[in-house]
Amino acid sequence: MPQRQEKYSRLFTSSLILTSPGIAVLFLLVILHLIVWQAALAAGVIILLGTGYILSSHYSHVEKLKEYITALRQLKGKDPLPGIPSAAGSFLYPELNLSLSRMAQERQQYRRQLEAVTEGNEAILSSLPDPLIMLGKKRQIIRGNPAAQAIFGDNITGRELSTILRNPGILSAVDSVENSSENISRFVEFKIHGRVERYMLARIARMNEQTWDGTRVIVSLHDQTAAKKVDQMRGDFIANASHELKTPLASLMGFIETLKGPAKDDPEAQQRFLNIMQDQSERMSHLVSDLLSLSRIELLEHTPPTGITDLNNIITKITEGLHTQIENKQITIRKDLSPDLENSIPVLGDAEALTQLFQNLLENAVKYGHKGTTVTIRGKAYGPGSQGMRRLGRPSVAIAIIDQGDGIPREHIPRLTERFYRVDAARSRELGGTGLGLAIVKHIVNRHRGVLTIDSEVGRGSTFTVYLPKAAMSEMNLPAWESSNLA
Amino acid sequence: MQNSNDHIVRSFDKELRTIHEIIIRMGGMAENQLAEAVDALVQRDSAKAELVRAEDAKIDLLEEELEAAVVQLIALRQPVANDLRAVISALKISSDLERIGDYAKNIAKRSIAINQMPPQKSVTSIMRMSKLVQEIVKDTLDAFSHSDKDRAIDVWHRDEEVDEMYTSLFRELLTYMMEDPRNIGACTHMLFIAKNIERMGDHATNIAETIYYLSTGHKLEGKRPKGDRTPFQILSTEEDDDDNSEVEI
Repeated sequence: MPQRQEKYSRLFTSSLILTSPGIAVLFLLVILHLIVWQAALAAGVIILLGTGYILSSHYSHVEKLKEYITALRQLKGKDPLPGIPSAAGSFLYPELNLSLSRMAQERQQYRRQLEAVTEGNEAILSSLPDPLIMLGKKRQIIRGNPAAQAIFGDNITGRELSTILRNPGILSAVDSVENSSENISRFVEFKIHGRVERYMLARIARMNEQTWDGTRVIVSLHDQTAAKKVDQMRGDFIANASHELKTPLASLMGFIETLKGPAKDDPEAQQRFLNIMQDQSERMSHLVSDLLSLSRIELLEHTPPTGITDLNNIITKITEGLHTQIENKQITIRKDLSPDLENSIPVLGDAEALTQLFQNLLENAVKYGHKGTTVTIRGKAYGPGSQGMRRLGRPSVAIAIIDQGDGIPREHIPRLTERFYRVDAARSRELGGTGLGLAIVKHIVNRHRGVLTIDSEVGRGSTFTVYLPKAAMSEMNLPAWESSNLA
Repeated sequence: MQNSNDHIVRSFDKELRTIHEIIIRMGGMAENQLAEAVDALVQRDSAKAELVRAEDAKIDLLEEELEAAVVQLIALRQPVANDLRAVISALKISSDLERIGDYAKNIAKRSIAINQMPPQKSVTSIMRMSKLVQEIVKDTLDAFSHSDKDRAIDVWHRDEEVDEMYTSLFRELLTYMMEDPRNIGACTHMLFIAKNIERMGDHATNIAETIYYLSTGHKLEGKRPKGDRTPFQILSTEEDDDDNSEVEI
């Protein structure tokens, strides 16, 4: 109400001011007796009313324009433009409305372009495979792109760089880059230690000027693990393979020599030797395929799988596959799963790798278990707060493969997963082992960010427990191709 | 009045943060020193070993800096309750970290001596053991920087694996020495290196205990896991113990 009053009083005063020269002239004419005062009064009122009418129309036009501009101001993002004010007409200045709305349209267009540009930049930043960390004053993290969040966690914003990267080389490089007067950039090579080592190359660069969000220094990391691993593996492979292949190769060569020489005309001996040679060459081929799969797994070790796999399915398939061995040794397979895992055991993992993992463990259990005993597969899920949860830092599933065999003496346990480490070399060879089975298991578990524990008692048997990250039940709706992978 | 109060609290916070940051820096350096020292041993790189030796002084410097900061903070602010715990813990953790640095330096020193001798097979075992300890040290420091007491408990339990590994390495080295007396020189150095690494694991365990104390105000309950059995190790007799063990690989 007071607003309206104000409007009217403004209208009245301004009309009064505008008409005052006319009224003054009328007044003068009346004083000089040139016109009669009645006529002067009538003329004054007409002038006043006419001016008031023109002004009120002008004011309402201005009022509409003002509302229009306020509406434009409050426009956000992709809101549609408000319509051109037409109600009050364009009494005073017909083109004013048009030019104002044109300007608004242009403004909106610029805004969209700017948004597109920033969105594009943001998209480029977030789709970069390499982690990027933006630093402000005193090594404070302004933000990181999704790749950085994947490595260091979501809540890095606002923390100090050293809480996520402690390497002294990086910290001192960041300090020197931040405090230098010129725009320099530095490269630092470093390792992130842990269960799976990562080799990183960091490039630390200073911004020309501090950006709007306060970024002064950008740290970009480049993962060189794969390249380093290939290098390292080449060496390992040559060292291991040549040593392990030498023995069967030597015996093959010996037999070939015998077959060419002394046993030339002895069909019986020939037959026997050829059998041995076949065994030896099979062993070599086993070894080579194990070595190859080990190196493949090692290469993948630093990229954790994201798919969801049902372990129950895998384990059933493996036990079916081991049917003959199980029958031969009269072994009973007993499944002991906690109620929540009976139907399915959803884990975050790669079906192929997990098949290999449990294949190796179950094969070992059947191989080293005594005749006529039981192999137990025990499954348990760990929710928040339990020991298994603490191990992995997230809900997990523990699958234990328990055999009743000779057991493993304590001093061998820490070294079991070393490649080619054997508790009893002769026995392992006799059973067709390559010495790589548990090394493969360990690397697969590492790749899944899981934990392997070995628990053994001499004379009673051994328990191999694998902790794997549990997938949420709701994620179990597998896409078609994934379920066919399991088959 | 209000303003001056605010200011005092803020600078107190800042001092606590500085102390926290020094610890993390020390941790990062100690972690790096261990990795570099073992690298120097595995790659037979004496130059790198010298670098590790020189670098150790920096950790000692940081420790002094931290001590000064702590003393000043206690004198000026008389911290109580969890502030006091934070300050005392910082002091304890820094001395553990400084020891870890010293062991790394010692490993570097010995690796220079070992590099004068023919390559040793046992290096790979040392490498495995050091990886395990490296992991433990890393997890401990992560637990500290995130004040994550659960992770600290996990680390505390894992020290046993290191001890098991040390026992196994001890046996291996004794076997090498018996095989060929010429190995004794290098193997003795290896033995000390293994012991150093095992001690680093112990210090990491100490730090884990301190972290637990820091965040809860209580001591970690239960017996400290112990797996080092070398004091009872006799070579010729067969050990027949059948107590079961759980070792995480």
